[in-house]
Amino acid sequence: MPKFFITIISLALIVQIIFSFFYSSDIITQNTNLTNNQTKYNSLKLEVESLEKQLSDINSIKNISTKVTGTNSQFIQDHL
Amino acid sequence: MINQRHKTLLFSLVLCFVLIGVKFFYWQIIKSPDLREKALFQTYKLEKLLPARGKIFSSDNFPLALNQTTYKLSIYKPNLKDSLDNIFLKIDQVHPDFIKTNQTLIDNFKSNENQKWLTFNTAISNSEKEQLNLPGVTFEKTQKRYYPEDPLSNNIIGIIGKNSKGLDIGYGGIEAYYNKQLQGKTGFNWGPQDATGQTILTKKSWNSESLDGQNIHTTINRSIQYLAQNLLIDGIKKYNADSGSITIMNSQNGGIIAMTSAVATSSATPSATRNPAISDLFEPGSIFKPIIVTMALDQQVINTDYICDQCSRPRTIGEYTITNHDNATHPNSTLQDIIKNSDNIGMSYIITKLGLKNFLSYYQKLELNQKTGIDLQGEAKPIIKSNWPEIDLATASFGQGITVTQINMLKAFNIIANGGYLTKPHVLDYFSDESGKIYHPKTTPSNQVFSSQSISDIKSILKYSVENGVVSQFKPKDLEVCAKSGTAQIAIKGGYTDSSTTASYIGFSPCDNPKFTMIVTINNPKSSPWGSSTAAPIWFELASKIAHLL
Repeated sequence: MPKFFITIISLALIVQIIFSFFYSSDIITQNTNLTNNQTKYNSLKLEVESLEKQLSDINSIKNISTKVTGTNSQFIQDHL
Repeated sequence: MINQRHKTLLFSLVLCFVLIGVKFFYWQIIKSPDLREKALFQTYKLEKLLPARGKIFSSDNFPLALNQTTYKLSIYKPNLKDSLDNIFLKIDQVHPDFIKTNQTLIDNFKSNENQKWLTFNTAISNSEKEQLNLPGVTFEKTQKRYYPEDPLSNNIIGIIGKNSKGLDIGYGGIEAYYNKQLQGKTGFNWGPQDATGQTILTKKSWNSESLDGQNIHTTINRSIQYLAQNLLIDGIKKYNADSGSITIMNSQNGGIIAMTSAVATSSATPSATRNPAISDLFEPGSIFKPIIVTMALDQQVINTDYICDQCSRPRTIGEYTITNHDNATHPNSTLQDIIKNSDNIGMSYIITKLGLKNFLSYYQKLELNQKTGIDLQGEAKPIIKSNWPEIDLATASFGQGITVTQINMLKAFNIIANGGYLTKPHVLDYFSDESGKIYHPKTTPSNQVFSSQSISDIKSILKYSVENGVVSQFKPKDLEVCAKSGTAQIAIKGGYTDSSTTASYIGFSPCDNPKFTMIVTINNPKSSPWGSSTAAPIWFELASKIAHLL
């Protein structure tokens, strides 16, 4: 009888250890994913910010009036 | 003996346990709150979630103010794995002109062996930072406001600076006026962290999301702003003036289409924190005459058949004599001719018929005694005198002795363009958030100040004045304009200077259902003092260019 109890307790202990191992492993995976996604999100946000700046620089009147030269510039000036 | 040693040992053990117990009591009971707090700070991390500042857009949805994340580069000599020269060469390859820009700093850093650490103010982009993954080279993240069209509209937009607490705050223009809406709400994250500093998801955490600032969509048309700025700068040079301002407004709803100022010495970079169009007071001069005539017509003290039978000679009031700008007189002038010839003598008789009480009543209804309430920081309040002798009332008829801002004058004159209704000038069109949701501001109903008949009468007079007056040479044939020029002497202590003037031209186009109302002010033009020969040509050239853009 005691042997039976010892076996049950041992099995329960092993199951708990395995469960907690997988569970903690899952937490670590989730944490890692969260960190990676956050890094990626921040990086994309910075990329969007940078592209937005480049786009506005190219399309700014300041750029058009100084960089575009010759007949094209005159055409724009005339039509503004 | 053994018994004695046994007792001593036992006593020592008990004493040790007691001491340990006391220490436990000290740590667990007495110091418990402090330690609990320290443990909480070690295992929990408080993270401030900073909101992104709202962007500012022009009427064509082009960004006038953006946010930009940049990095400050620092070098720590002891951690370098390569020579300083090579490090700077690598940085210069990634960020061109880095060495050239920071030459003095770099030379001092290289020659001074005691200096171990140096931070450069050069803004490094995120992609450049990723390419510069070198030992001994570190980066500090900074947020900057970026203005793609700077300095095109910086006197309207304003700038960002630090307040006394070191926080970003808007100074001048829209950045200051709408600072609360633009800055958003800071959030926080208070959560448990593991040994590597990563958040542990299983334990309880407290979180309040940050709320990004609202975007501001303005009524500013950047093409027209560009044209106005260039023509103003050219005009200041051409007429050898000290400075000038142009403001263009949507005649129907009061939305500011363009607002620019320039000074002769630094014409390309108007101030971002001071906007002369809203903060500088001036005497409007003859551009005020149509408003006085409208008051008199509305009050029915005169009608369109009015003839000035006293205009054959200068008018004397006490010790003062009222004359015309060219010292000429215009006997039996009609109302149209009084405006066309900008007749001071005729105007002085009209305001006498109107009377001080009526004049002040209309002055208040036109809100010329108060700020316009335009949504830009730094608007000045006009000055209105409390004592009105007869001569002061007479000179007020041609805009001398009263002071207003350019925006005040435009708001008052626009009432003629807008059928007698007063509209509040504004630069905000609507707000939007990052999800694209739009929020329109509350609109206030317009007050009717003048009857539609008196507005119709003054429009005919202004149209006649433009088509038959001295400015008719500048008017493009296909453009219908209702406008008036003005030349005001500049007040100095106890009188007026003879040498300098404020030259102005104000009007709208077309006369019926106008699209825009515009004012051009040129300060102290030396080539000619008159508004009709300095401000008017600028007005007409700009009007002909913008008419098809609206």
